[in-house]
Amino acid sequence: MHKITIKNIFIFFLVFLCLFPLVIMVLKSFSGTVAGLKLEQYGRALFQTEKFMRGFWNSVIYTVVIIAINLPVSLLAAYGFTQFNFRGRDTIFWAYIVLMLMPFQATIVPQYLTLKALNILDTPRAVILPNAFSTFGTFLIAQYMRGMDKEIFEAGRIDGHSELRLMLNIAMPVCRPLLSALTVLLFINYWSMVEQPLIFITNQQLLPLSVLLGGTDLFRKITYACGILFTILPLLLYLLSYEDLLQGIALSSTTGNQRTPVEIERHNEGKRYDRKVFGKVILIFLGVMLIFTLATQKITYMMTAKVEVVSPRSGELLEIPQMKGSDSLGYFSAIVPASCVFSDGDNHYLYLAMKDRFDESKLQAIKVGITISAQNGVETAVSGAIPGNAAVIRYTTRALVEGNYIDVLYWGNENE
Amino acid sequence: MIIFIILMLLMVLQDYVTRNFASIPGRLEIKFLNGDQQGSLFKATQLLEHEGYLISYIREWETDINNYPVIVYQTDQNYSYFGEFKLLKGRWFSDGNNQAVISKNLSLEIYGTEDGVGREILLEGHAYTVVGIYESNSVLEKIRKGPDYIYVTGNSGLEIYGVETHRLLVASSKESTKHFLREKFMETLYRGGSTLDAEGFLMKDMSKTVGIPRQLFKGYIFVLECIALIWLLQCFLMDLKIFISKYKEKMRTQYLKEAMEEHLTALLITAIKWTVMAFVGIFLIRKIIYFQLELPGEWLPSDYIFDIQFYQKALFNEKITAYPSYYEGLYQSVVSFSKHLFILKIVLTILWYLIVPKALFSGERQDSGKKDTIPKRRLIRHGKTNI
Repeated sequence: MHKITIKNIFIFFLVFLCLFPLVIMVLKSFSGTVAGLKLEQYGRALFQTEKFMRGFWNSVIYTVVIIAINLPVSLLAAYGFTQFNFRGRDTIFWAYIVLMLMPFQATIVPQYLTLKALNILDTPRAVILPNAFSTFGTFLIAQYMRGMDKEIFEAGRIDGHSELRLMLNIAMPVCRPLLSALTVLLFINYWSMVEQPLIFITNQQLLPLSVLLGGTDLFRKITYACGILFTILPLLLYLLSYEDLLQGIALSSTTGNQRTPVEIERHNEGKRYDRKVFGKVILIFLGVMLIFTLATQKITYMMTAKVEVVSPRSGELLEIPQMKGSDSLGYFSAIVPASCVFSDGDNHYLYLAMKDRFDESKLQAIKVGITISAQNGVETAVSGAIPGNAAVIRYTTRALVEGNYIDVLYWGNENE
Repeated sequence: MIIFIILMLLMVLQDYVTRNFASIPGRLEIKFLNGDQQGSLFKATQLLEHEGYLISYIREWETDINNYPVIVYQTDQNYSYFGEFKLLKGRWFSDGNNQAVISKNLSLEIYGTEDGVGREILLEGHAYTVVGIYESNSVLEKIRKGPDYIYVTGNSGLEIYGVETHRLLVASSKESTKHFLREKFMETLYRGGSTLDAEGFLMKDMSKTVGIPRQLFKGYIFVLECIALIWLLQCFLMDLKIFISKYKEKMRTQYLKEAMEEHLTALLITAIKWTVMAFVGIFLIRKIIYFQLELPGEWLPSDYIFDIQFYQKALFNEKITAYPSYYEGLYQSVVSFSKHLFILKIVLTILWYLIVPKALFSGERQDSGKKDTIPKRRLIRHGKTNI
């Protein structure tokens, strides 16, 4: 009895350790800029972060397209390997297994060179094509099909059915749980892929959410909520095909017909309702994400500040600007209008209009700390990390925060 | 149908009001709280005009002529740019002479004719010659509701025995001052050595106010487009469902080619209907995607869109001007009118949306419930019956 209690405590401790990151993620996702449970992170992620939405839809597109190509191709290849005898069949299958077992890191360079030769680097095809023809699915389905009774296919052939019809009407229904399990496995694999997009794509706008979430500070304030939202779709898919997943894994491991298709169908009868519900939930989730994407697009535009910018000038700063011949405060390399400079206690800063590195068609307000060298009330000589061709924000339609999108209405000049 | 007609009428009305309001130029209005401040500004006039600002001074007071209440604007020739009226007869006055421009209604009231040009009008003991007759924008006048205005030329000797207000109107006359009028105006004054005391005046930037009622109108159109798209999708899905169930039934007893030949007209009509639906859907989706709403910066929080504290502050600390100028009053009235109309239209649209599709789909459901009776001879011909 005592031994069982200790064992249970140990198991619970292990479970707690496993679930700890998830619990932390859920709890932290409800924290905001002020204390207490807040939905601020979700509000920001779903209504204000275009990059999150773009990353999310990139992930959806990559995953769906890869699976949509990979599954039929794998099924056809597996059928060919198991039903036909042709020269080199075993060698090719062996090559399939070798390719499956080879770690991605070992094939990075040849894959990169191939994609470069095809001139599809830095395009979605660079991620989709190598994965769409991955050999894992073929191997798994072929292993299962090997255990199927060949006499059924022979009988079908005698009846005059074509090979395609045999595959569609006999092989596919029997393989359904396996295909469903394979879909979930592939989905989870490609939903969370990082290395391939990171290596084959440099355009930030084409990166999936898995890369954006992990490697950048784009979602600094909303990391936890983004993590939760990123988990929802695989979780729903897992719930949708939980039974198939268990069956598929069991079937593929035994490689034999433990149950006939009729038995499998009967077993699945009760689960159909659940599947329909989860299928609907997935569609609703995607629909809602589409609405959020639209809302994000509108809100981002509304929140974009209209600004006027100036270039800092270099030269002499007069003590009284209106008076020619007034005393000089010195020569400075960066002089900006006084209205450009903001102060927070003893700290001074200004905002620069800079291209967003995620989307170069947009401009962002970047806060730069400065030191005031001299000022005459109209102009201020400043020093800090200000590039020579900088666009310093002078007027804005709304209070700015670091990272705000801006729209330049007018490029003014103090000397005009 | 009644709701739909009301909605259409309300839309036309809002569009009409918005168009009328948009024809009035925006401005920056400065209301002086003491006389010293004006002197400082008078000195800076030349600099301001050189820097790309169009300015006009107003001395304003209320009085009555033959018991007809009026508001007098003692102003300059630049005011004609800011004017919210149309000159019917005569001309706008030039500086220096005792000239007046009065409304058509006042002319009728005191002279018995719409053409009072050349006649004299007595104000606070001074005689002014009427040089022009104007007509206010009737739509905006109905919304604003207030006494008529008389515009007279400057007369420093004129003494007012009631409450008088001094204002300065500023507009942009150069591309460089088109945006951020308020900030640039203050900076120009400061650079010009003005010693304006911030406590001595109230400043209201209404240079971009014209766009706000227009944005509310656009916002409603967007809501309408979204509802139309949802409705279209519903219609299509319902139609598709009916179509499938109808032809599934037929396909049990007929071959595809046979069924198509028999229902060619119906199929063609359905194809045309769906094509139209697809085009309308694409059009609506494009409109929805490209819709952009521009709201004044002060209406939105700086960082987080659902910043409740910001909205609470904005809602409860709304400043209401005690003695608004004509334009400010008009702007407030038009915005308030547009807001109320917007809410009313949204409520009516939702009501209409809830009623119409239900009625439509219930009718279609009844239709689809009736199963097509298949001619017995056809069943016999295909050997699909026991008869």
